Amino acid sequence: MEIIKDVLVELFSMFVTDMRLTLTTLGLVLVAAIMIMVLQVNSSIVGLILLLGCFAIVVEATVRETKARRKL
Amino acid sequence: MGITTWGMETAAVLAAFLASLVEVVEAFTIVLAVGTLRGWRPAGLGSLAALAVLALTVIVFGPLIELVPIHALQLSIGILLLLFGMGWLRKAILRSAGVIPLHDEDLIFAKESHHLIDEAQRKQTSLQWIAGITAFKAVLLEGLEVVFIVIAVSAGRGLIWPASMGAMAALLVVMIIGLIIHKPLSRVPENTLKFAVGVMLSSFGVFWTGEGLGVDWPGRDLILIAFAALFLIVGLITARSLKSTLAKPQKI
Repeated sequence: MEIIKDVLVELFSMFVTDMRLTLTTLGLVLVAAIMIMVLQVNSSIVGLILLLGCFAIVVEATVRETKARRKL
Repeated sequence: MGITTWGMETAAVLAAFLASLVEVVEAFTIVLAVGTLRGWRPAGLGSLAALAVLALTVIVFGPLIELVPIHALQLSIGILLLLFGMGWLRKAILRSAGVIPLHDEDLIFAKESHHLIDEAQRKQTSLQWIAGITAFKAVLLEGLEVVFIVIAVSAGRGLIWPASMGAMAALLVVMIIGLIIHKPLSRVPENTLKFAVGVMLSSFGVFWTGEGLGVDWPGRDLILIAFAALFLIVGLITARSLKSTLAKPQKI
C-alpha cells in the first residue's frame, strides 16, 4: 500500500514541482487553444505566443524562487 | 527515411538516453547502498522486479496510447511534457545559479545507508526484505520518469522502440561504470544533463502542444532544433543573471 502511495506522490510531483508554474502553463495552453479555435488567430502567431509564454513562465518561476530564498 | 523523421528519431533517442542517465544514476546510488549494506541478492532481486514492472508498463501502455486520436494524444502529451520539462529546466537553472544546492550522490548514499539501518531497527523486520523493497522502490520511482519520457517523446510517431533503446543504453552505461568503480557516480555532471533534458523536453512539449492545437510549424519537425536552442539560451541567460543577483549584497 505504501508503495502505491509513493508511486502516486511521485507521479504528482513529476508534473507539479511548482504549483504556479503548473497553473500558468495550463492557462497559457488554454489561451492558445481559445485563440486558435474560437478567435481563429493565425496558427503561426499562436505558436509564437506559446513559445514566448513558456520562456516567460520559466524565467518568472526561477526569479520568484530566487527572491523567496533570498528573503529566508 | 526523410530528414525530418531522422531528426525527430535522433531527438527522441537522445532525450530518452540523457533523461534515463540522470534517473539511473539516482537509482544506482540507492541500489548500491542496499547492496553494500545488505548484500547483492536483495538489491538485485528488488531492482529486477522493479524493471519488470516498468517494462510491463511500457508494453501495456505504449501500444494503448497509439490508439488515442492523434491530435488529442499530441495535445495531452505536449502539455505533460511542458509541465515535466519546464519543471526540470526550472530546477536546473536554480541549481546552476547556486540558488538551490546541487544533487550530491555521496550525501544520498550516506543518507540511504542510515535510513536502511534505522528502518531495520524500528520495524524489526527481516533486513533482507527491507533491503529488497528499498531497491525495488528506488528503481520503480526513478524508472517511472523514464517510462513517461520514453512514451512521451515517441508518442504518435511509432518511436517507442528507438526511445526504449536510448533508455536501455543509459541503463547499461551506468551499470557497467558502476560495476567497475563500485562507488556512487558522484562525478556525473548531473545538473548539466538535467539542463539538457529540461531543454529538450520543453522543446518537445511546445512542439506537440502546438501540433495538437493545429499549429502549422514552419520547417516541420526541424523547428525542434530552433526551440531547443532558444530554450537553452533563455535558460543560460536566466541562470547567469540569477547568479549575479545572488552575488550582490542584499539591500536592508
